This record gives sequence, C-alpha cells and structure tokens, in this order.
Amino acid sequence: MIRSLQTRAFASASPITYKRVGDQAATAPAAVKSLTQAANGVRIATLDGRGPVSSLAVVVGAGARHEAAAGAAHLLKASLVRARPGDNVVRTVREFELRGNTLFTAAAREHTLIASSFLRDDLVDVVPALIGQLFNPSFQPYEFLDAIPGVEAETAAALADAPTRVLDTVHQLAFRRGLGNSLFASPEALHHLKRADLQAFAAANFTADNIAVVGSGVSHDELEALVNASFEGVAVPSTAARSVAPSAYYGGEARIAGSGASHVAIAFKSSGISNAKAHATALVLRAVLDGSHRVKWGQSSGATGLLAKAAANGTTVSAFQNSYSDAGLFGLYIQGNASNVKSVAQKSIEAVKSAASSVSDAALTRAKKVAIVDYELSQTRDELVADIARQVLTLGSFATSAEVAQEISKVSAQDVAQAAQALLASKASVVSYGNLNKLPYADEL
Amino acid sequence: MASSIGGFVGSGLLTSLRTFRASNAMTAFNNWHASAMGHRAFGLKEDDLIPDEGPLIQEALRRLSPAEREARLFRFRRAFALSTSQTELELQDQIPASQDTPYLRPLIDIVEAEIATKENFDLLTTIPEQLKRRNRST
Repeated sequence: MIRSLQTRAFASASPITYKRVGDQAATAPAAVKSLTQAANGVRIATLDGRGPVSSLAVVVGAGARHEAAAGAAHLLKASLVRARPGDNVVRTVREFELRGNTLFTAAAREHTLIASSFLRDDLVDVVPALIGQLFNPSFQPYEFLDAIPGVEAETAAALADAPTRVLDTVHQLAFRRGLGNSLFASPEALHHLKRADLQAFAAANFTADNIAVVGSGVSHDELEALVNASFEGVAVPSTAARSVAPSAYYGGEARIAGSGASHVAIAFKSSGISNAKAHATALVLRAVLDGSHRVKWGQSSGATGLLAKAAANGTTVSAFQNSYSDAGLFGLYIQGNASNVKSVAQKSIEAVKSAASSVSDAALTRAKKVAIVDYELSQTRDELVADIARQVLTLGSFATSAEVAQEISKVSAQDVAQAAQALLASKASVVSYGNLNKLPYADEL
Repeated sequence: MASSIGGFVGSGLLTSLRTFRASNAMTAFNNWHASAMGHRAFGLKEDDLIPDEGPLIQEALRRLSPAEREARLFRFRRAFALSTSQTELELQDQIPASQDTPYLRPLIDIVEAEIATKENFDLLTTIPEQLKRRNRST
C-alpha cells in the first residue's frame, strides 16, 4: 500500500536533468583554488568546495627523510600537542572537543602536520590554536617522556601489519638514507633520543619557506588574515638551515621471516611529483597493470588489467605507486601462498614487459578512467590537505584533481610504454615476508 | 571597586592586605621563617616537606625529571642518615636559601589546573553564548 503511493509520487514529479557539455572529467564542477603568501613567508593554500565543513592543516615539509637522529620525526609528531606556557594541555584538547572539532597530527616521509576538521565558523578558533601548538616554546621533560610509550606502541602496531612492514622495508632498500629512513621509530632509537634532538629537528626545519597552511573548505581571505594575526609574536626563521641530499635509487633484497600469508613486494624506480607528466604516466601505468578493487566481491586481482592473468588461486597481485618530491617507487605486491609466489611473480613481470612493448587502445582508455577515479578517491579529506601541502612545498603551486585528470587524459600509449621500460631498466627492490623456506630469492624470479 | 567580602569597605581591606603581603617586611619574615623551620639542617628543600601520600602529589612526582627525582632521593637518604645519627649539617653544607627553590609546587599547580579544567569542561553541556557570537565565517 505505502510502496504504491511512493511510486505514484515519483511519477508525478519532473525528472532532474544535468546539462552535460564535453567530457566528464574536464567539465566537473570545480572548487575555488587560491595560493598566496603570508607576511612572514609562510604559504597559504586553499581549495574551497563551499561545503559546511572545513579542514585546516599546518604542514611542515620535514619528515622521516630529514631527521638527523633516527626516530626523531615520529617522536616529534607524537609530542606536537603540548601544554601552552601558562596553560595546560587538557584545555587545548577539551576546547577542540567542546566544539566538536577533530585534532590530529600526522607524520610522513616528507612532511609532518597538525590539522583539524571543523564547521566553517570555528576557523577563528582553530587557526591560532594550531599555529600556537606547532610553535609552542614550552617542552617539559615529562611531556617528552610520556610520549615515548605511545610511539613504541604505534611502531609495534604498524610493524605487526605485514603490508606496512613490507612497504617500509622496500623504501629502505630502494633509497637507503633519506626517503629510506623508516617511518616508525624503533625502541632502540627511541631510548637514545633526547629533547635536544627534537629541538634541533624543529630548529632546522620549521622555517617559513618550509611551512604551508592549507585549508579545504575555508575562505582564503579570512584564513590569510587569521594566519597573519596568529604569527604575530612568533619568530619563524625565513630560510631553511638544512641541506637535503637528492634521492638516489639503489635496490636490493630483504627477507623477513613471518607466519601466515606470504607477502612479496617488487619495486622499481619511478618519478616524483616534480614532473607532472611523468607522475600522470605512472598513475596510468599502475591502472594499466592493476585492475583490482573495482567491484566488491569481484576477483581479488581484478578481471581487467594486465596483472589479472598473472594471479593464481589464493594468491593476488596488485600494483602500487608512491611519488615523493624527487623520486618515486612503482611496484608489484604479491600476497598469498608461498608456493605460488614464484610463478605469479614471473607472470607479473612478463605483464610489465608486455606493457613496456605496447599497450592496446582499449586498455589505455580504461586505465585513464581508472587512474582519474582512483586519484580522486585517494584525496580523502585528510589526504587532500596533505597532498596540496606537499605540492605547494615542492613545486610552489598545486593542481586540483580536475587538473590532474586533464594531465592524465593527455598520456599516450607511447608514454606508458616508455615508463614501463624505464622501470624495468632499474634494479629491483624485493622484499619477501613469510615462510622463507618456501619463498624464492630475487634472482630466481 | 567592590569585593565579595565586605563590599566597598572590604575592597580597601583586601588591597591593603595584598600590599602588606608584597612588602619587604613580609618577605623578610618569610625568609626568616624558612630558615628557622629546620629542614635545611637536614639538607632538605622546602618542597621535600610536602606530604606525598596522595594521587595528586604522586602524579606531580611522576612528572619530575629523572635528575630531580634522583636528587630528591639523595636528600631523603641523607636526611634519614642524619636523623638516625642525631647530627645536623654544618652551615656551609646546608642548601643555601638561593637554591631552596620550589621544584615540585609548579608541577602540583599544573596537575591541579588540569584536574580543575577537566571538571569544568565536564560540567559544560553547551558552548557558551559569547563564543558562538564570535564565530562567523564566510
């Protein structure tokens, strides 16, 4: 009875239509993008999608790559929220909670950030709070010592997860120092750290040309005024007193004993985000190879994509791609039975070689669509502000996902083939995790 | 200028009390009293006398830096030894007044402030109106 009433109501209303002009990606509704500099040189970037919720991050372009003492970046991230001088830390946290705002810190290989998501009206409270926390001169001994058990627990939890551990080790093999520094502070490194190490890290890296205030869903003019007001009385050095060694790619092999499913990662040298075309090509190449995760309950390695044929029963293979400022990693990730790993790995490398020789038009068209969708999906709220900051600090400007989509559309089959050839020319970084008696060595593949 | 105690008359009384407390005479009396208390004869600092059997002071003690904790333990052991041997420290071995500074009271203040802040925020059910009026964003 009720159902028939509803269908009658639908039939009587006029259908909603959208005016479509041209290709979908190019004519998608665009967010408003702005990039300026504050009075002390800090860069301010906003991407305003006009929603009711804002995200704001104060991002420092310094992460695990730039740490002089092992584990300093991880411990600094854990101790970023401290008591302001003359106040206590409970007030900071409770004020954020009272308004229903989030407060979190994150540390990656090349950046560390403190951020909050909030309703638009709370911008006037969040900006001074975040900037005050990042430039807090007070650092009590007990705040340092109380952060250490939390960092140990984070490291243990992260390294207990096999994919995280394998990818961390792949970076270590590929880049050694710099980008190869582990994201997670080991207990031995933690117990050798002192407050002076963290303060040296901050002094060298918290400079105006290395800091970006990024907002998603905030008004740029308001943000600029608030940032200038918040930085009054805070002395921020203008140029970075650090020298960053350019990344070099090495490669190698590592074998980690473990129980359960086997995980093998085979990574090659790829390009960083500094070259937009190369970055777009890497994204398309990943989509050409990897057709997994498109349909729920579908085949684990996908039905399309060149790697689909390489997968075996119980063993999945996918492609991953990470881009940093001046280098990147592109690789295959195999997960499943140790006995199948050798054949799956060999077939996957054959698939990459076939991509290096030629890519069919149908596969390229599909891959471009997949790359655009996956890129947009990877820009979750928290990841979006981090990504914008990374681009602003490395390139001086940032591209919205629509602009990246345009870049992806321009990629040709020739570019993809050349990228695959360049990959195969570099030395592989292979990490094997699982039952080492059964897993093959890298030169056996 | 009125005060809660005694109204207009009370404010004059409070002001004069505060002026007296900050005066040189009061400071001199405080210093004499601290010297006469006798803790320095056992090599103790004034903050060592704070009774530490309780969760608040225990939390403040937990927040002492390792060096300060070690020094406090040494002072306690020395005082115990002096007490059992029925001796006192010579004047030149005692901690001088300039070094007898509060090292635990600031931490106790921080812990008390944290507890008070937590209880205040626990009692709040809505955002205060003056904070709402201030936030207007485009």
